[in-house]
Amino acid sequence: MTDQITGPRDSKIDLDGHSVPVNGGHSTNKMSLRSFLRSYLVVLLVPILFILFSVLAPQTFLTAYNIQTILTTNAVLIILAIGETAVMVTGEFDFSFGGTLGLSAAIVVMMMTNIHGVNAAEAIIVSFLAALLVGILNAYFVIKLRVRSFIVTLGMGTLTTGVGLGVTGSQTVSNPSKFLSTAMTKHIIGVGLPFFYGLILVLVIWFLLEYVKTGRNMYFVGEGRKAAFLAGIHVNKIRAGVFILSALTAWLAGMVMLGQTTAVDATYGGPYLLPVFAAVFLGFTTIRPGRFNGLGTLVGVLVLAIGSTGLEILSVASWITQVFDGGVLIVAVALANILGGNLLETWT
Amino acid sequence: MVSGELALEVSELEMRFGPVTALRNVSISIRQGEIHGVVGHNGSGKSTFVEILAGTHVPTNGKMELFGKEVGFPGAAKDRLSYPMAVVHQDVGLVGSMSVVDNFRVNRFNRGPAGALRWREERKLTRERLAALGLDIDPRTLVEELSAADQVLISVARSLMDLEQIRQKAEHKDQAILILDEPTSSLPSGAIDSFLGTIREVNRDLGTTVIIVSHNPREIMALSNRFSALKNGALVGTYVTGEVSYQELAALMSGQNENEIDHKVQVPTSAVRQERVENGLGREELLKVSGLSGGRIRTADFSLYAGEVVGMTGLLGSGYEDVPYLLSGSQSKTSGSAVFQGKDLTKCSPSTFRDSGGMLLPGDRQLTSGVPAATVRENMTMGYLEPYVKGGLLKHRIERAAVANMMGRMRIRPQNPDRPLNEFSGGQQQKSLIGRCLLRSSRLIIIDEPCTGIDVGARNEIHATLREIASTGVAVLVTSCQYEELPMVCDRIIVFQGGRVAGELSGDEVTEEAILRLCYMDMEMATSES
Repeated sequence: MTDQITGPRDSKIDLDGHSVPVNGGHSTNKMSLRSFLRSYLVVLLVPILFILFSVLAPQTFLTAYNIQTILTTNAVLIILAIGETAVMVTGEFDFSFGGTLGLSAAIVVMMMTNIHGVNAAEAIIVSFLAALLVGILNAYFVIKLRVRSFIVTLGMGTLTTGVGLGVTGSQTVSNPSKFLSTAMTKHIIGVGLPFFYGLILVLVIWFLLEYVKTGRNMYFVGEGRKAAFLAGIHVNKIRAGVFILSALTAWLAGMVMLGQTTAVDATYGGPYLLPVFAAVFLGFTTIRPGRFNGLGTLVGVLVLAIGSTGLEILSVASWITQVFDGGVLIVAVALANILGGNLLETWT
Repeated sequence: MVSGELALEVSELEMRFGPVTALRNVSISIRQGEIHGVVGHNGSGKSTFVEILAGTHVPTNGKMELFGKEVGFPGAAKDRLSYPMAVVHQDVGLVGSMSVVDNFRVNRFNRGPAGALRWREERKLTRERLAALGLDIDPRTLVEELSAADQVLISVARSLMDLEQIRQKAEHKDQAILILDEPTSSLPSGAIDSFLGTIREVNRDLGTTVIIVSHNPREIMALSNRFSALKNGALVGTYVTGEVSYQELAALMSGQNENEIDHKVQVPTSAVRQERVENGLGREELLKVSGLSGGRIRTADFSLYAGEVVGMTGLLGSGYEDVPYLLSGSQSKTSGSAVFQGKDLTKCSPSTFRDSGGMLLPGDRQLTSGVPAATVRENMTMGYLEPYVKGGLLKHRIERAAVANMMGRMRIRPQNPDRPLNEFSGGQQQKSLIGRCLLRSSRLIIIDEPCTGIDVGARNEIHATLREIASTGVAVLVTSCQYEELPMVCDRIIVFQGGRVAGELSGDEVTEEAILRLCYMDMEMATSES
């Protein structure tokens, strides 16, 4: 070889640095601070916020009762967010959970107060079937008729809210079911039972996504649907499954709300729309950064719950909750972009 | 004309991405009027080099001179468009669902009163510009309806027009640089020659300096005056093309030293093929396809035998491209039958195809075969998790060990199963996906375009692997538009034309010339003669 004009001769540099840390928790390599923060920054927010508010309001915030209340009152949020997590893993959206929640609760109330001789179990079963139908309809429109889930579920959410209002005659009605009140207000170590229902769901979804074949395939459906289909993964069955799952978690959330509060109306699910997405996106940035995951979502809920309760206790007016939730959603997605890097491609 | 003056000079270029250094101390001078090749293995830094010139990245360190004047890097400049450089990216940057004129003139429209667009003028201009490169296309055609070759030409034409605009303002009309980033990687072999001819004309007639990044040694040999070789992010050297042999160039491109070039790939000779038959390989019929039609296939009959690698090719659109997807059931067959080891695959879906023991590796590793954001581990076991499931639970440890082992066998570096696929170079990605075929024992493996956009070294390794798979009694079907690679790996080649089998080559008949002859053969005449 002749006429070497420029450049050093064959330098022996290994580009493939073997110790490049990757993907946080997955890595078997020694973890660098950067990759640790990448995975657990948001997790650290939970104790940081907790300590912050405990210092600022030791009398009111740092009480067993307050902590129990935070966990109990956020059960609905946990249940809704974990259902949404499953949907978003597969690259879909479900905006209809608020409506499904309201409709489920409305059906129980209406049947028990207006139809003579209906017991709680019957009413609950009917509301369950109604939620199941909502999930099947969502799946049908998205998969068979190929309408984007964003549109279908946005419409379905409003539609079910409307039907719910019709069922209750647009009234706020009180919960007639003793059974639900008991099931949803029992306490273990001072924390309401529904929190533990949510916790079980979180663990089930976490386990499914990490340790079950279907869970792995769910990620593929979200991240590389075409490749998944060609590899023989049942893409549409999985998509249908998550819409139905999400409708059923919304139903459960409806039952919890009915039992926890004395009165409901069909629009009560609406305000959860934003915190659910804020929690799910916060979850996307942590534990398994770049992937929606069950434990991440739980951490997301805790950040929101501690943050908004703390701010309320500091007697900043109650509007602060909305500012906080909205702000967290935006920051969470921005953070996901910074930390997740190219992993976020499917979402931006 | 190549003059002594420099069009572009970069010195001491360094580019770091976090812990990874993609380029270090790279100095390259491009002479005015030359065609300068940039070569190197996957991950050598040549894409980063182009991205710096395109303004996508600003280097961590280095200087840049354009036509004798020191300038800032395009990525840091306020007015990137004032640089007399135009880049044609690998993915050509066209929007498929929009028309040719839209794509050609986007952001460049001449406006009339009140900002109105003058469509008739725009269409006329587009048509003229494309005609100058030998393309006769109605500007209203949607880009996605055009062949890959035409799309690349449109992108080149657009860049040339941009350069012309810039030149009109510049003092010296020939001060322009056209940068082509692997422009031929998506082109079928038949279209490459005419494309290279076009580039040569652009260089000669307009005096445009051309920088071309390529994986193909022939292209560099045929086209360039000089070339620079990169390896592991450093410059190996700049060479005068005429003074370097083909083998030396191929060695520089694969990033291997000449003496360590992989000679393990045994190009199947007729003796090898004969031996196979004597050993009983190639006798057991595994797949029998008769009267297959669907997609662009009108009718096709063929069989695959155990222990052989069969290639399928043809001109683009001749139907061979659809065979993998018709067989695996992702595209529906309109008629005909396919029987694999006694199982009827005629009405299969990708999942039933897999369940009956078939395996498909599609052709696009970003979209159809790989999941870029998922880890290598997940990609390698995708769709075939059963061996790692015990009692309904995924055993990560067993899976990770199996994948790490396969990465070692396929020489995929860094050997980290939990690294996302998109953090590997193209060749390593493809090897990982081929690893999926090795992890699962399947007797029918269909691979579409196994060697698109990867370097010579990785290609040789993949060919060796495919032969190894076949030697265990598997039928391997490879479809590829790059017909010159098929004789290197196939025992038998089936050439398609107009949706039918134009002919089959085996043994000594397997040559590039024979394939080409079948591609272009007049089938009507051939049938009437016989």
